[in-house]
Parts: sequence; structure tokens; C-alpha cells
Amino acid sequence: MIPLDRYPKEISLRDDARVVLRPMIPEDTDGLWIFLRQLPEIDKAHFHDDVDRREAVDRWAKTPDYEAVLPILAIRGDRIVGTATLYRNKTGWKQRIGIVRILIAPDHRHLGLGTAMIREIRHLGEKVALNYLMAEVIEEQQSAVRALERMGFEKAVVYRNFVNDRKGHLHNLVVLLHPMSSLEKEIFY
Amino acid sequence: MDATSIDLQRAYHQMERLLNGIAAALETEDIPAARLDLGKAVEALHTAGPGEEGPEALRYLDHALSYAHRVIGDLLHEKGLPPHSPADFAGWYDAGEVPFREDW
Repeated sequence: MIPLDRYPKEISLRDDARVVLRPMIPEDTDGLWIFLRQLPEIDKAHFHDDVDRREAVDRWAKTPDYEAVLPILAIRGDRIVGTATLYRNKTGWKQRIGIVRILIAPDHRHLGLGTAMIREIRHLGEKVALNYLMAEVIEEQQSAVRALERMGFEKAVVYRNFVNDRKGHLHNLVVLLHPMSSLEKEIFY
Repeated sequence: MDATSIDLQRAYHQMERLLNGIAAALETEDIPAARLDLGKAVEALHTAGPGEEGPEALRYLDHALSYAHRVIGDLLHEKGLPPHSPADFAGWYDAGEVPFREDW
């Protein structure tokens, strides 16, 4: 079981604003819908569902399974300003690899929130003894790439003209990996 | 950047004190990622060595400082404090500009 006793957790941003981090619950559907509506197109390209459709967001928010998909929300006042989601496979050869996706509201960037969300997911990944965290980012999202690298992620590969956005335009996909302490212990021993 | 052997020795010992301070602060915290980074900082510091000179020693000291900044960031995050911004301390640096800023 992933330990969630650290939530709700309050953090401060660079502008001294206080933000609460906690896992998403079904009652967050309205806030999540509003949050997703304000994101630029490029940030929504990775979703498997069309998040411009309310029913897709409802389905996502109302059936949480934290062992497989753990969305941590950043909430300022009563508004969602960021999400960090840790995806895990319960079984199989990738069960110790966590996939990270982080979304930050445009008006809350450059305040340290993205970096704080990376720290949070890194902490959770350590707690469930993952070997690697993996992040996939479109190459144009340079701020995200730099923040991930500063937090210990390393570029593993760049796939050229590999993914398409929702208008069909091709983009380079950067895959970054973060080795976790359990991996180092396994290799060492 | 030019650094004399005295500069490097001074930086080594300052870094050693910083890492010892961070290690003491981490003792009561449950932050596995920060412990890992502190280990990497100590390893980089030892590679730089107290009596080493030249660009390699400087590079490893720089690595140690980068890992140390990450651990400080983790400690601040755990305590709910605003993130450390090296740019806020630009006036203290003996450098033309501070080469990092918060991007995200």
C-alpha cells in the first residue's frame, strides 16, 4: 500500500502563497474540470482520453485506484493549480517503474510548484520502493525538462517526430529516467 | 574560472561543514531521496579531495554543491517552507551572474 499519511501537506511557493497537496478524491471533479480547461493544448496531448469532454474527466476523477494511478493535487484556496500523477503497474516486469506526469496551471509556473510536485512524486516513489521513475515530455516543454533534470532525472532517449498533438502535428518525445535508492541497493548487494 | 589551490582547499572545507550540517538536519527526517542525494554529495566531495587542484577538483566540488542544494530543497519542502532560490543570494556570490534560476 502506498503511504498517504503525509497528506494533506502544506507547502509554500516562491511568492509565499500556501498550497495544500493531497490525493484527488471524487469530489474534486468540478475543480479538475476547471483546471484542465485552462491548460494549453500541448499539456493535454498525452492524455488517453479527450479531457475536453466532461464525461472523460468525470470517469477519471470518480474511480480512483491509488495503487495504479495516484493523482496528487496542488490546491490554492479552493482552486486546483497543479497535479502530479504517479502511474504504476500492479504486476509484471514494469511493476517497479513509476511513470510521472505533472501539470501546472499557466499562472502558477515559475513559482517552484513544478519542482515541488517532482519532489513529492520522488518521495512517494521511494516509499513504494520503485527502481525508476520515468517521465515523458514533449521536447518543447523545456522548463519541465530542465526541472526534471535538476531533480535527478536523466535523459534516456529522445524520439524524433514520435508523438502527435491533438491537431496531428509531430513532436520529439524526451524520455527521462530517475534511478531510485532501492535500485542502487539491489545493484550494490 | 580561476581558482587557486587555497581557494579549492577553502571551498572543500566549507563544503564539508555544509554537508555535515545537512546530515545532522536529515537525521530526524524521513526523506529517502534526500539521503541518497547527500550520499552523492559526500562522494563527489571525497572525489574532489582536500588537496586536489585543477578543473576536475572544481567540477566535483560543483557536483557536491548541486546535490547539497537538492537536499536543502527537500528539507525546505518537507517543512512547508518556500523553495531555496540561489538567485536570491546573487549578491553573496563572487561571480558575474548566478547561473541558475527556478524555471518551473
